[in-house]
Amino acid sequence: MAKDVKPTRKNLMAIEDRIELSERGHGTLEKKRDGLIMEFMDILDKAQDVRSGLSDDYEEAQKKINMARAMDGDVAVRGAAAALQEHPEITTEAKNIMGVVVPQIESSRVSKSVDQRGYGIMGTSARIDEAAEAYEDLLESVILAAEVETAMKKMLREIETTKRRVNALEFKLLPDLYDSQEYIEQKLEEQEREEIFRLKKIKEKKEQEEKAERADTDDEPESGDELEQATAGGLPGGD
Amino acid sequence: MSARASNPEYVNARVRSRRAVLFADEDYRKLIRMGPSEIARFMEETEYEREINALGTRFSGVDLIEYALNRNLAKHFDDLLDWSEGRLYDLIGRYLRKFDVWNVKTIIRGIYTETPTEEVSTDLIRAGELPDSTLDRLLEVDEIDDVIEILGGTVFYEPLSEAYQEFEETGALVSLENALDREFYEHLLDDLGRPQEGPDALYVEFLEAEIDFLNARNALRLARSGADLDPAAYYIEGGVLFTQAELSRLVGNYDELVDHIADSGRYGDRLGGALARLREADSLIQFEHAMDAALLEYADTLSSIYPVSVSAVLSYILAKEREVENIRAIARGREVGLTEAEIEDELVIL
Amino acid sequence: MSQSQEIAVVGSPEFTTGFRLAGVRRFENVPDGEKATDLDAAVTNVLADEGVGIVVMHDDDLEYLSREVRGEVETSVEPVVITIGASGSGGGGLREQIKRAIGIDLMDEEANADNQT
Repeated sequence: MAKDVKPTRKNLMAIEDRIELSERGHGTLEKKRDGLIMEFMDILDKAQDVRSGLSDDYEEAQKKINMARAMDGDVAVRGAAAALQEHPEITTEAKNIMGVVVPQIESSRVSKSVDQRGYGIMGTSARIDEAAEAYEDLLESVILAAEVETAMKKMLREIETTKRRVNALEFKLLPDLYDSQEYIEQKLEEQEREEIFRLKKIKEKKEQEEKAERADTDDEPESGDELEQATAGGLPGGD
Repeated sequence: MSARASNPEYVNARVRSRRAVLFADEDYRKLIRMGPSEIARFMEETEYEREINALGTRFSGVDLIEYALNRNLAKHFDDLLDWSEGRLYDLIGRYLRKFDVWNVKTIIRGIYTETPTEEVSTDLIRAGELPDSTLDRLLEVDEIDDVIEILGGTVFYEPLSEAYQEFEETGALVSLENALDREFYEHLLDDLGRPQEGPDALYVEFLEAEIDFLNARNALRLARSGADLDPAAYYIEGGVLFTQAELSRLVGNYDELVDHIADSGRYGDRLGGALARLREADSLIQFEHAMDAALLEYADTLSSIYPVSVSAVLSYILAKEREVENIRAIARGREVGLTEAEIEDELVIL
Repeated sequence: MSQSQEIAVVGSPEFTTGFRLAGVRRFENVPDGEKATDLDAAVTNVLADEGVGIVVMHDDDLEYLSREVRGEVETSVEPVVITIGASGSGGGGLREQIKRAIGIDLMDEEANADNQT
């Protein structure tokens, strides 16, 4: 691919500009990747706390509902659930972490007092209240988990993309540019060397002609000139 | 039917044979060691055979057990209403009305959540006064006001019609459900007076306890949850533990509320242990359990003193309910992996 | 992004009832015996519902899902799927993703424990 570039000084300058830009980009992306990973580690710590809270809440909620289902019957628990009037709602706001849009979830109508749930208080029991309450707590944890886990997933995606771009620069684009740069530099050097040689030749020829002019009168042979021309034709030619 | 003479002798004679097939303590001890499918098989060899077989194709596991228990209970309670006449019918009917309340509530909830009719139908416990034909018609309608129309002529019509306005405003079923429950509780003590002795005295004391415990329980639930609800919305008249004014005052102060129950001569001792636990722990579950146990203690004395009164029939109703609750609790408890000790301590009431 | 959404729960009726008691009304009941055939569709259904912001499932139920649906469950962010259950760790797919993106298994409990000593 490097051989596609025309070895001109103008192209070399263009490639050198691109190298400078890409190197700078590579540095920035590496910093971004490392920054994202740091942010991610923070979120991961938080997520693991949220996770363990979630497990505890689930266990508690299960214990409570099992008690209600055993004492009041599954039919009664489902019946109470059917009377629920208020439904939890969530609204998602966007928050920006290093260019990654992560959600901030607001919830409403999750925790309710006994009179807000919708089932008649006389026909139900504290067992059902406590199960409902435990599940409300669990939902709060679920919402928290949704927030951090969405953030994690989005951060991970961004980390992966950034990492891919860093790698592409590091292992593909920059090496290619360096190749081209080296190639053009070599070529230009060669061209320079040839030019010097050519100029030298011209100069020599001129000198010989001058000598011959003088030798015309002196009768000198011209074999040395033919030999020099054959050697010059054997050198690799540039294009 | 109320016009005919009360027939407690006849009904109690028939109830005696029903009482004889109730599970004994040792049956529970066996059940506690079984898994859910073993429990179902065990039931197949008892009183519950017919229901287990009839429902076995549609349900399995503990659901099968729970539905079979409900259906069997409904059958027996239906028989009680068939047998009894006059005042006895009236008294039993008003106690079994709690199943009508349950059924109407379940149907309304089904409409509210657009649950398929068949699912709603399975959850009914056809043990109350409302005839099957009425329940079937109720199952077919799609609107709550149609439910109320069909209930025209029953005791539920007026309270439901009143509560419906609030339902329309708030969109919450609370008002309808409370109206139904209130209808059940408030008529339990109708024309019974406050007899101090004789067959009715214990019966009345039991019903008073049921109302007192309900008021206490709900006050504690509300006090604990910090709900801002007018106690008048759930206070039931007829108990001896609280006046409405007392309840309104106590609902805001959890500790005083507990003290008030503990200081009562009638219940303080019976509920002492549970009240102590209630002060330490935040959970009302133990307290509810203790109240249930205390109520059943009353129920046991009901039959022994006047064996041919309504008390004896009520005692059977309560014993049958307890059986259903115990078997269900054991099966559910086993299903969710509770230990034998936990089931014995926390669920079963022997 | 700021319109209000609901929480949905998918699983056996025993799993969903509790959430319904907390007010969740978007639920898909799939009894254990039907999960192998019906769970995929139920999950796909809620994932496609724009009114749903969070989907709750039981950890163990992931086993019943086909590869594609499971992949969706693990990577979807709108809605995001939160799994809960006895295992507690959660997010099996997340762990793989972390390994891929960062190159280290950050959720390896034992390795983390070793690091701390």
